[in-house]
Amino acid sequence: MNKTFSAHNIFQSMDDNNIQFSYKGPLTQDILTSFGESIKEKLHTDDCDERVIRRIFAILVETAQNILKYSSERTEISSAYRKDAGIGIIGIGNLTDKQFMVFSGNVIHADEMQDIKDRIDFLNSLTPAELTLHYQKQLKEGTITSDGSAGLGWIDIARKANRPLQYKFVELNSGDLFFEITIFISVEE
Amino acid sequence: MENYILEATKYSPYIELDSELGILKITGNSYPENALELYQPLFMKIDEFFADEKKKLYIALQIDYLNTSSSKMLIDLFFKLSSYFDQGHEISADWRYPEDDEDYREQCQMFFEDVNFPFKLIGIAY
Repeated sequence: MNKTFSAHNIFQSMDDNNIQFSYKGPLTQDILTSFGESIKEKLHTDDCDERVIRRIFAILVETAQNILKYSSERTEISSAYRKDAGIGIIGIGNLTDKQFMVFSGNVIHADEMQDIKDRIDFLNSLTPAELTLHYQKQLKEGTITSDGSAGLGWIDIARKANRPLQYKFVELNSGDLFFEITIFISVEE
Repeated sequence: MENYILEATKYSPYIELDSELGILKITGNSYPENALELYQPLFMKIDEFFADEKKKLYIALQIDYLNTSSSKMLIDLFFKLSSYFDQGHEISADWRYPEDDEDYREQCQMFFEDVNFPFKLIGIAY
């Protein structure tokens, strides 16, 4: 362990940013299920708007499954099935009782940056009506790959969240990049 | 043909194709890591079901939450069923959804827009 470790630093950082839950590690299907279900339960206990809970849950699942499938930092979870899972960080914060934040981050290869940037910038540029049409077109005319990717995840996130989706890339010593995205979800009056 | 049953998990639905009664049931959650892998066996069973003679199939859906790749598989399933309907098979569907969820309703309507068989969206209290 790092000698400068301090639980207080983590507490303070989460407190400053109103973060309620965060997880760092391999995002396996089992872990993302427990994480998502726990948050759903917590939001129910807080009497949060049902529609917002559903949106938050959907956004958590899509971002977690993106990390599971696309993070370049990976770990083996079952040698028998030759399965592995991506490592990353995911979390949720409650900024006010009317606004929530979901964030995620994971390592990517530097050459993936442009494609990610183009795709999110494109989604940010669309009107809500255009976004729905784009989703519909991809849903009906797109194809699903053998690893189960339908190219719909971010489009759906963009539909359920406030835009612009905020993202950035942090350069790592290894030459790879840390890709992070912050998603805001509001309770509608 | 034999009936097809897939038991539910926290993140995958209960799927049952009763070939004698002509009922396809999908209930529960659907957000597996790989939706293609999950639904592909059902697609093969459906082709088998419609293979020999004119059939009748009633589809009952009640899915709490589906991720985007499950949505993709379901729309592909509906396109497949719609083409069997066009070939003369008798097909109808009911989809039960949380009545106060407009997002969900909009999504369901998107699913049924291009299918030719009759369907009903039924809002229920959750």
